[in-house]
Amino acid sequence: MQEQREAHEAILDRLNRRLRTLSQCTNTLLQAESEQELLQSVCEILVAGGEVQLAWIGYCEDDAERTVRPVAQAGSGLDYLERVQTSWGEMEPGQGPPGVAARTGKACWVDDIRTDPRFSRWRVAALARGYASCIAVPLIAHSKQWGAVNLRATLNLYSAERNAFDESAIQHYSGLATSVVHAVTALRGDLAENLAHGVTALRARAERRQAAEALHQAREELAHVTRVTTLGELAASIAHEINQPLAAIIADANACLHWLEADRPDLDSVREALAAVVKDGERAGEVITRIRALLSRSSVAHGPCDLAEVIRDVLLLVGPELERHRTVLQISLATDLPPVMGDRVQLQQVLLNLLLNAAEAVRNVPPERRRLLVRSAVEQRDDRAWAVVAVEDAGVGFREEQAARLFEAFYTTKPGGLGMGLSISRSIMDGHRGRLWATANPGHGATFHFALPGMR
Amino acid sequence: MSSEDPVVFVVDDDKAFRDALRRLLTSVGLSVEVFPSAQAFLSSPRRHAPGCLVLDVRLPGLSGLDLQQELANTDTTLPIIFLTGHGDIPMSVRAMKAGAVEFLTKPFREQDLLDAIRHAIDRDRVERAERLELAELRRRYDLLTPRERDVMGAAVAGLLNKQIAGQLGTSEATVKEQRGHVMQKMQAGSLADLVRNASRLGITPAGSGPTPPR
Repeated sequence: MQEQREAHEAILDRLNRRLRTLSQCTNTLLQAESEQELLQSVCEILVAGGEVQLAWIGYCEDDAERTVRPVAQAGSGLDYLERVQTSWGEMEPGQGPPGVAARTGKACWVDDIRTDPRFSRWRVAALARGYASCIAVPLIAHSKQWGAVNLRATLNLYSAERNAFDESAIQHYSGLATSVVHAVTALRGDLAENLAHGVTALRARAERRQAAEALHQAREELAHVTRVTTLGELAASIAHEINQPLAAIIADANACLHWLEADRPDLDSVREALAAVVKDGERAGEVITRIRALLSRSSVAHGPCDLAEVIRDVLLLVGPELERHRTVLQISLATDLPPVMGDRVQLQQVLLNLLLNAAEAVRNVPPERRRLLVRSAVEQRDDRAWAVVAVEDAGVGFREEQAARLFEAFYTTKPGGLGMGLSISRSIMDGHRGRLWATANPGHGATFHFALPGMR
Repeated sequence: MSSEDPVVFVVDDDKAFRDALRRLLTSVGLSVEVFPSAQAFLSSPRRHAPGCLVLDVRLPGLSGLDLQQELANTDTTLPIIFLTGHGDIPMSVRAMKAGAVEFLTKPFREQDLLDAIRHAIDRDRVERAERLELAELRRRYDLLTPRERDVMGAAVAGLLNKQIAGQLGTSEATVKEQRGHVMQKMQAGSLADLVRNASRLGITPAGSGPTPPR
């Protein structure tokens, strides 16, 4: 009874271990991310299970010797694998369990290494490491689907006990082997699938990048067109700004000709006139430079920007237009405005747009309300200094229901408006990590503000 | 500089252009006075020399057209040449209708401006001469007695002394004497002279005395 019970307990214990081993292997099979990791883990779990001294997995190579190359191993006496040659060929090195299993696709075991003649070739090395019996279970799978799964390998186990691999053990390890094959197949399939998926993803990403670039280009083009359109509105003022110095230059040049034609040329007057010509020429040139920057199609160039300069440049452009419409411009600028990172031309465009909108808003209101205020200030927000610029007018303003749509593309309250200005301005501000918003004034009109984070 | 030397007045808010124009006009021997605004020009003392005004249409405050209107109201007949930086057609039409000599777009050809200025000064000179002549005629006419004015009116209407005497109820000899005074005071060498003077003074034969009988 006692013996029987002990035997039963031993069997129960073994089954428990196998169950544990199996469950551990299953986890590994499910979680392994690479084939190598999977095979190595299986070997380690089997050795840890206590039933085997050595576990290794060999891949059947298609070389001349038909080598079974160990790819994963665990246990004691690992140098055994370095000492022995295993083949899956028909010749003698292929007559051991791994070779037979690989060739036949069936498990092959040696109950007693000491006596089994099939094992004579490896006997000394195996006995030296305490192996008494061994088994090789095939790991074979063929699939043409992805071309990636073509597995011929063996799982080889060595026990310190003779007759360790009985029928239940063979079933157990065969079942395990089937699971390993499935896992490897799945991994390789995944890989292939991932590969295919990866190519698709890469292509999609490239397409997305192209689309993003196209969008970026389109946006820049739109900003450019809007700039040109805006400048078109300023054409009359700009022509005046250029005509004025040009007329002065022509007058002075003619004056010089007259003086030089005299019998005793008045050289002092000639000198005075020529100095004026130089100054006026430079003045016209400045106007052109300012305009050319805004007309340029150059791509966005972010760099440190002084907003005070941006404001000054834009006011030089808009000033004559405001005068033309008898609009008073007041300026209140902070002296400690932090520099910002940005594209000067785009920032000019935003301010130009806000100013022209404001100028238009006051065009048809009583003269005392025909005034604009441009102010700048420094504000602390989110632990940093922000440069805030506001354009305030006492014009027609906007109604509450219009407020939400002001920055939409193609939304306009102006008869000849395109509805692009504010939407472009906002996208420019977005591109600068800045903000653009509008508030209604308590009395008349509206104030448009933009804020840019100051450089630290 | 004598009071007969013409003066060109320039009103332009752009200092660079104003100075350049001053140099140009000076270089061709013209006297120039420049003003930055219409108000500055209006508040400067008037000169009695012939001249013209070179005026920017668009001026801050009182515009060029406003100044033109203002000058017309004060009976100052200073010919105006308008300059503009914009080819503003409606504005130029308005200016020309209000009597501007020329409307030039900046930048203009020098010769166009100088021609316009010469033309304007000539026009001003003629107008001034005519005004002076008229003032002189008026002064002379003012010297006439009421009876002499009646005689003058009848005479320029072509009536003979006898007819005038009949009309005025006086003798032919008296009319003859009064007619002599008229010719003398009006400094008329002939009846034709007197008729011309009368027409310049706006004296219509019918309006100055009793209508001659038919």
